[in-house]
Amino acid sequence: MKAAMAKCPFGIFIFDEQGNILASRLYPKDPQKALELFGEKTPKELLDQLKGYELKTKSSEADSMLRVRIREIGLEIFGSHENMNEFLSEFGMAFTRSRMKKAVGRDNLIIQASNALDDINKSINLFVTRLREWYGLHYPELKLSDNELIKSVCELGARENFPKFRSSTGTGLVPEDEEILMKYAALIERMHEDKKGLEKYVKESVRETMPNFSSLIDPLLAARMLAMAGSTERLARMTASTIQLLGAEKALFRHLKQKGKPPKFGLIFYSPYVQNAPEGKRGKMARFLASKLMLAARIDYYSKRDESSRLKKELEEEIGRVLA
Amino acid sequence: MKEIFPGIFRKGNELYTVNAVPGKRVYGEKLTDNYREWIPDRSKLASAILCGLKEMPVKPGAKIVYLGASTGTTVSHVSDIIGLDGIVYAVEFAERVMRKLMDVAKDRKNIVPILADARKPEDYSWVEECDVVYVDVADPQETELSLRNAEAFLKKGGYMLIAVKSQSIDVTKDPKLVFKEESEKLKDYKILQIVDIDKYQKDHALVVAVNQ
Ligand SMILES: C[S@@+](CC[C@H](N)C(=O)[O-])C[C@H]1O[C@@H](n2cnc3c(N)ncnc32)[C@H](O)[C@@H]1O
Repeated sequence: MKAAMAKCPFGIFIFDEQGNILASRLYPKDPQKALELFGEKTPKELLDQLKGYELKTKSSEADSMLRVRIREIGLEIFGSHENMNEFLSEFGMAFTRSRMKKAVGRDNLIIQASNALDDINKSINLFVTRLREWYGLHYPELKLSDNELIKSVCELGARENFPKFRSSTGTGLVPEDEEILMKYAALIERMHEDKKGLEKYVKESVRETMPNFSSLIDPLLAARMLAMAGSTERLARMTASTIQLLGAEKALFRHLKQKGKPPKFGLIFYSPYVQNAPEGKRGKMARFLASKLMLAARIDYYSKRDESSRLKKELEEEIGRVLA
Repeated sequence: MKEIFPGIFRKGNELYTVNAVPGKRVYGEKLTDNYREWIPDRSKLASAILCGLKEMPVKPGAKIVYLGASTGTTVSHVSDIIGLDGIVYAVEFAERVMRKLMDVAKDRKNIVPILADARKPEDYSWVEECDVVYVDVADPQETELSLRNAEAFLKKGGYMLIAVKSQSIDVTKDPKLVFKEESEKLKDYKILQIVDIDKYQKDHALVVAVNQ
């Protein structure tokens, strides 16, 4: 006699040729555990129940036999469509997560991109300073923020085109002067656009590679901390106090050479959790955040589960208690 | 606002579904009261409804296999419509967009995200038999892929909805002959309607077929 096996998120089922279920093994109702068993070999006890049958372990016929009965089986286990669907949804999440590529080497790409972002920020600053000095010769009375200055010069050119222009002590521009200034401003504007693209890329990549870590701290900061650590693996091995000081290396060095106070925070200082706390409680906040970040880095690197909502909730509860 | 299909509402040329996660947007759509705008420029299924789709197999309680789920724009509305008694198996093979889809599925317990290649249904053979197979993969082997999935997952009398490039079919012909090359493979299916959605989705159409 012949028998064939099929698996679904609820368990393993073995059918005879008429489609009767000869034997079955149900998985636990925990989607993560179910997935683990789903990936394992058929347990021996189950096979022992089939003495006398010739068993096919991969069979599309058995798959189809099971497929038309999944609803019925699931309803029996879960009692309602709603509960059954919720289980399937979580099973799908776990299934998908387990198939996501292990992000080997991806961290190096992110580190380079994050460093490139630093470079571009520095360059933009340098360029804007030049633009300000240059345009200031022509229109020294103009008071604008960096972004406004770039935009205005790019779009308006000479001071005469500014709606609020009255008079100026600066040097007049001939058309060639104006054109070259406008081109320079346009160049900065384009760098600005490129920077936004780069920022978006870094944010998205960090969220993919370190979903837990980057849920607790701004993804751009997370990327810079990753860059300081050198790799997701090294970040995962760091203690909370090392994480707390990431990015404060210079100050730490100075302190070791016995000049200056020891630093209390590194990049973590820029987190709103720390920034928004009253002066006297910032140290405590930084410690809380650092110890949650340590956990998050380990989950991101070792288990790869997304536990961000739990981590975030716990952190906010701890912080709430201290501020209350 | 008028309910034109179960769970789907229309006001002028705007479509809405009832937001399963009140107050939360998925892709920048407008929220009014408990309704969520369904933007036809962003969703071929919404386009098809506005362009005269006659039968709507995506309805409360339906079980759906959705191939090419992307970031979940359309899937989120499907999730609104089918409700918690329905289920949508959302297959997508690109990891980047899958992350976003998983975020959407986190709040919606009727979406089953599946990271897999829709050309290989044996990779997700654990999916149950469904009422609808919806395909929007923009793949040259789209028809072939649709048929293989329908063969595996679609129940008798179930519907197949395929978003296609109009140039790969003949929109003007008798529905029986629409697919220029692949018509032979479709012989177990009766094509009910070809909705030209060019107005919202350039050079696209939605083919509606039933498995008989
Ligand atoms: C046009 S988009 C789908 C848009 C989506 N249906 C919506 O309306 O929100 C096509 C998607 O199909 C995916 N795709 C293409 N070929 C695929 C395949 N063989 N298996 C799974 N997904 C595929 C692409 O990655 C892309 O995300």
